[in-house]
Amino acid sequence: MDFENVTVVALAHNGERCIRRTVDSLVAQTRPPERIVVADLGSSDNTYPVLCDMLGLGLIEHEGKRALPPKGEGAYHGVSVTTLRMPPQATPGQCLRAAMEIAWAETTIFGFVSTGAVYHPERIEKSIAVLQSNPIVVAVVSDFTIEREGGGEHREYGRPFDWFQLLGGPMHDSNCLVRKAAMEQSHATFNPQLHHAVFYDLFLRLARVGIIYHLPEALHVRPEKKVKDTEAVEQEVIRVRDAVVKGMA
Amino acid sequence: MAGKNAKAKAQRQRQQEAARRKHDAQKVLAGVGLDLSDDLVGVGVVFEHLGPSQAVLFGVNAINDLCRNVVGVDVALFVEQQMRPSVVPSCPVFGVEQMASWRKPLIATSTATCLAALETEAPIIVHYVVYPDFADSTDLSIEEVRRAFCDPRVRVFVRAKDYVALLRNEFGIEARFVPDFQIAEMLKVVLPELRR
Repeated sequence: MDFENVTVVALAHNGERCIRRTVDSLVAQTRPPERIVVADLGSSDNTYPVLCDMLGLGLIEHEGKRALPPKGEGAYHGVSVTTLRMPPQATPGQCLRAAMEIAWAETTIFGFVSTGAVYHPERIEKSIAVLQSNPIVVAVVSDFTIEREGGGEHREYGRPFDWFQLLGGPMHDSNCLVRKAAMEQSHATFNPQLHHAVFYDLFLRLARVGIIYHLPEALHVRPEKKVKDTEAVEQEVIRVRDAVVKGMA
Repeated sequence: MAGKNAKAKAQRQRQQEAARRKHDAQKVLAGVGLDLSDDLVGVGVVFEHLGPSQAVLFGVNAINDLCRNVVGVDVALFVEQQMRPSVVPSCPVFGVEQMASWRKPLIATSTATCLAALETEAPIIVHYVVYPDFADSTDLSIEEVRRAFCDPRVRVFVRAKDYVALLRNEFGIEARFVPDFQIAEMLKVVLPELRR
């Protein structure tokens, strides 16, 4: 019994094929979360209809048309699931903030799942054990496996937290569990203006109040990510890093 | 008569107390592979820095525990970048340049610090793999990386069970699994070897 209230926020963008698998992995945890919020970030495919289908939500009258509700709630395998549809122009930061606000009051630990990622069944249990045994730990990340498009897998060894390495380059995986109290302490939620470095920005701020713990086990699987605009990502990372370092001075 | 008995009883109690203390001291020293008859042992631990990081959090806490509980082991820290420590160590801290004259075992916490330790005359170097940093280091040649893991003076310990298989495939070595920088577990293996 851990007395924590865990809310997992799953981001979905054009993930009609994998969203069901992601949510299934969350409800099948050895220590399932109290609530799952799935935020659809302006998908152009059937991601949102698939989500509504999972929760048994039907068409409603919305703005004079029959459409799926922009926000819906239901139970999926005994876990409370909330779906949220964000407009296509919304940034990931805005989307994550909106999803967190739904369960902010009662939650003590927030989990985050990227599009298409699948959690290992013990992921949440192991992360909670670390957060409870070390009060200085504010977030838990882990190693992961990348599923290649042409088939095959690749094990990715993530670096444990180190302030110097964090300043040197962005964290490349956003699947983590974060203590809510640490977010409040560091005034660090997601920056709504950011498009790419939204988790890097969060980790830089969290790192000022505690340790980001790296579990050296492959505790989730995620599809291979294609970065369309590497230059834009790098520029945003540098801008975020400079802003945080300037704020420290 | 009663006074004589009391004196003998007190002496017996003192002897029992001394035997108990000796037993306790033996037990503590056995935890790091030493015996009461051994000389004072020195161990150096090399960190890249003492700023906020997991290696420092676990490493310095484990070293502080060792300093508090074990009398026979002297620990010194060597640091590449001098900065304010995130966990205050209860042992002396030197710059890596002081390591050149160190002739006792060293514990390195990364590939780079292991290569620096190999430049010294340390008889045994423990390479504690916090994470497999060789995979993404571009400034080291494969020969240098191989040296940090396969040199005859190097003993490799890893933080995660998964890394044992990784290092076996990569370098053909058999690393030992020691979670969360348990320095006593590493010394238990290294110090008896040094004595031999």
